[in-house]
Amino acid sequence: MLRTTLAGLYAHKLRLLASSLAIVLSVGFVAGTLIFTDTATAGFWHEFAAQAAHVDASVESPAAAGNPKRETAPPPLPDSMLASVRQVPGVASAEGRMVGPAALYDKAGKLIANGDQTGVAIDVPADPRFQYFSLTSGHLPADATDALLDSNTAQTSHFAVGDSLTVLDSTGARHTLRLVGLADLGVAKNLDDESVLALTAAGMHALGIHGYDRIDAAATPGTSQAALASRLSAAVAGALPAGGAVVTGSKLAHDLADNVTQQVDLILTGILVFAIVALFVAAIVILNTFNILITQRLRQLALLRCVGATTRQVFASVLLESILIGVAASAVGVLVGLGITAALSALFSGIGAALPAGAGIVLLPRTVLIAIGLGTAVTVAAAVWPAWRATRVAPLAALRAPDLAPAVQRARRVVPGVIAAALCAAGVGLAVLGLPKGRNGLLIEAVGGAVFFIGVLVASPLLVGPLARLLGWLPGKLAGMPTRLATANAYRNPGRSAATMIALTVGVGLITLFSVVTSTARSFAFSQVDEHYPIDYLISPLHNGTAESARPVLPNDLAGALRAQPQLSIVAPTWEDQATLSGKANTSIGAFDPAAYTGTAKPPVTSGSVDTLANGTGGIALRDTVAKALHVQVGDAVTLDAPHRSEHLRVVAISASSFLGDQALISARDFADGFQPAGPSSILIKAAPSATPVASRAAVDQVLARYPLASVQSAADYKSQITSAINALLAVFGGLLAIAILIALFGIANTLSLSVIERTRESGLLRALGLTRGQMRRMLSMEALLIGLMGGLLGVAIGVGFGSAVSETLIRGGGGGSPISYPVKMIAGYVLLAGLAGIAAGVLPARRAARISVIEAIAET
Amino acid sequence: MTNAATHRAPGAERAVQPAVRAEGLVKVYGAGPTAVRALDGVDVVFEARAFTAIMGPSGSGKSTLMHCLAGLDTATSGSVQIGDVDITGLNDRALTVLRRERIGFVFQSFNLLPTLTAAQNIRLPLELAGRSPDPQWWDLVIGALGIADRLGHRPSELSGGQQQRVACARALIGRPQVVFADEPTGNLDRRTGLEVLSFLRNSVRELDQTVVMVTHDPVAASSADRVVFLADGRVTGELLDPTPQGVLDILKSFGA
Repeated sequence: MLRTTLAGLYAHKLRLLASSLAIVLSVGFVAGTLIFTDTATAGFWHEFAAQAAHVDASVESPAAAGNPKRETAPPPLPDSMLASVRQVPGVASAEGRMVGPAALYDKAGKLIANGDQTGVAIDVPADPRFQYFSLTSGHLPADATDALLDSNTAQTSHFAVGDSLTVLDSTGARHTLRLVGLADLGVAKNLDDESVLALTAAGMHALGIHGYDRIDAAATPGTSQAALASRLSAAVAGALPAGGAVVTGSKLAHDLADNVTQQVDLILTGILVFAIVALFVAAIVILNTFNILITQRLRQLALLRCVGATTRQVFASVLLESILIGVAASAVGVLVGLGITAALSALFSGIGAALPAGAGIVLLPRTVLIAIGLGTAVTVAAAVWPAWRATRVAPLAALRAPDLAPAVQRARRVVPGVIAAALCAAGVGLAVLGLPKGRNGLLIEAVGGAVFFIGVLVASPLLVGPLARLLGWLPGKLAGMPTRLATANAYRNPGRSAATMIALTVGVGLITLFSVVTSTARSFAFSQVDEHYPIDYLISPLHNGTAESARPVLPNDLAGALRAQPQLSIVAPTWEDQATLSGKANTSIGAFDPAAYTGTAKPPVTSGSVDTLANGTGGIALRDTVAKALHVQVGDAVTLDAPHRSEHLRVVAISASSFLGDQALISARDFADGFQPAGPSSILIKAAPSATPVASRAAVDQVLARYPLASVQSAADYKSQITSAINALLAVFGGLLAIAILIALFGIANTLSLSVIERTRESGLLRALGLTRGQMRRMLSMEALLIGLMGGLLGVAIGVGFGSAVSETLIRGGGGGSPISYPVKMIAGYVLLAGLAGIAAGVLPARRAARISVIEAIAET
Repeated sequence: MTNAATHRAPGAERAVQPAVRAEGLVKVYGAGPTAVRALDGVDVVFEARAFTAIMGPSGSGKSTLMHCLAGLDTATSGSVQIGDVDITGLNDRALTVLRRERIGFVFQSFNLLPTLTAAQNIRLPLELAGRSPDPQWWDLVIGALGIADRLGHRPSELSGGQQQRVACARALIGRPQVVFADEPTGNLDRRTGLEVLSFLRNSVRELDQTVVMVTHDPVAASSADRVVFLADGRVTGELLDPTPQGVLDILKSFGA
């Protein structure tokens, strides 16, 4: 039987190519993701291990122990500790590492910031073994005014060795330094975009940076890391600030690497989900291919049965075939995975997170096993049903005359119809159930979506006929006979066409879902700006010298300076902090200056009014979710435990969305009494109606020139940032779904090719009767177009439905706010693309059909 | 098709203008020592409004001759004329258009498209050309074949004889210059086969059509007006007003 199977595989090698490609691609995707994960992880380990190579033990300040980012968070390790570490027996050498705020001005005179983070300075260790950057040009700083700059920042901000740098320290004083060299800080820097300066210890002191973030020690020969660490622990026990720690060098490298690899792992887990979607689509394509091949080999299988093969042998033969294909294609898939790894690297570089390549590509045996195992399992699972069908072939079938290629097969209607209806109803039910549950409802909706999709899968053979007739009706009227023949061909094998189109439905459905959700998110964000907080500019503070967890504020006199500008009509500071609200800890509480209510703050109030907050009478407005959680309505009282005062406040309004991020809003006067803020957390600005955007922006910039730690964002900037962020997100999703869609297109090409082979005689007849080659090609293209369109339409329908449900749950939170936004043009584009992709997939089968020789096709066998 | 209702006027035109004419037709498959001369200089004329059978043993070249005559295959040398058109040297597209405008086909099997109803199958060649059938001619052909009540059925719902009658209707519906029938009774039982043959004869007698039939069955051949015999790629003789016995006698004389 093995020999027969192998011979069969060889005879059908071309027919199997496309389904093999489906396995190759999907396995490649899975393998690529795994290889990339391992490669990136190994790269990080390699890099951090190199950084900590000479560190045998390290004393960590609270900030270093809890938060590996280079950020000051007092208290650092005292200067004196380095001396005591150096005296510990077993310490060969020790070096302190300093980190502190050092905001760098760019050449246009603005502070370089990543989000609200400005840059930092680190010291250059005297012992080069502890240096954790490499000098790429220039030389190390020699005195207090020399500085190295990280090469990324130098590149993006166009600094070159020899330039003078202006740096703002945490007290607000400016320092002028000379750029003497560029440093490559490696991977860790790639994930954080703020600028990094490296200075001498004297340079650090000049910026007001004292103490150590970490003290690294190297052991004398014969002293183990653990021994050194425990000795250090004992030595520094008294002086180590609470929250600090002593760790071994290997633990240090581990912690450093772990922190970054966790971020990468999270992203890659997401990518793996897309790989599994691709695998699922491949399974559909493989199932379909085997089914068609079995149909075409009925006579051959019957002949095998005639000459004595048992049903078990037939079943085993088909399964064996699938195992051989699965293993072979998966093995090729692993190789393709190496290529996909490179593509993922490019993707990561594209989103500004280049990963280390230092360790080279890592292909673990685990990856090979998982990829080949998964690919083979999916292939074999997809072949079980076709193999079972093969056993149903009666030996007598071999003796019957060959049939015409089967005409329209009636899909069995009742049982699948009922099952499909039940599944779809259950799916919709789950989705509706998940609607009011907020984020928790998302999982319910995902399950609902999956159940609904299985329902559609079951129902799809029943949908193909009506859909094809509907879509083919108008073209059939206009374009004549070949189109009508194509329409009939599109549903003559409903099961086959359904499986072919549904593979495309998966990808199109998911991208439509993402499009609806992101579009709704954008319109929600836009409505916040346009309707509820119609500001022209938002001023926010930058961090400098404050811990990342601390809340930066704006200078108190900034609002006054802005008000003096006639181009600005409303200048309204806002404040925020956290407090316990009726027992609910860490609730963010905000307050707007009364001026805000005159035109820049119109929260979407669903009941009550914010008038009393505007006129200073008092009260509290709550976000609907908070009101719901506290079981309060307008008129009820809540308790606000502010740091300086605890008071009962009457709920005056409920809002459908947060108050610029805050869960509750009180009057500016109550906020000042309760929190005594150091300064505003932002300033809302509306330009005077008479001022042009250029003039108002110039007025804002003129004031901010004196306040470097304040950054301005215009509403237009904000919108374009949101739009480009969403477009980037969609592009990434689209790129990840592209493989699933590509596999579905292989499926279309495959099904059509096999159908062309099956219909050879029919095609010959048509050609004899006067169908030109061009008409034959158009006929096949039309069939491909119909399958593509059907798959696309079905995907769009499902995507829009569940996209709406997810949008409702995730963004609208079951509450009011802006309506769900449907990107109509984009969705229409997906359907169109699905159709065009179908045509593209049909090109080769169409050529093949057009090349059929009439004589050979109609020759009697 | 404007005066489609009137039958083609009988007259001298037929004598000067045969439906199909082949001159010096040679068809060679392959090259070098293994080359096969399937047709070795065939000169033959098929009169319009006549029912002609081409007979010969297997391998005599009769199917190749029909394929070349019908523009399905191109001859190595020699010429074929359908009506007043010399089809030698026409490209694939022109041949395809010629087939659907001037030629009708009836094959042994695989005659009908399974996805179309009987009526749609009959209209198929016309629709491929973007034409619609002449209603009176339609009624005449459908009536003559007795398939009026089967028009809405798909081929799988028709018997073999019914399928072949639908195929005949399709061959005739465009009033082709010639109908080529390739073993039209080969897959039918004797009685149904005879029905099809009598329809082909009637289409010549009563509907003024021209039929050229390839067959190896002496009984089928004897229903033609004339039989052309083929052996080893050459015309070896012909018989007018044949009988089954007369056909058999000639076949035997080939020493087959």
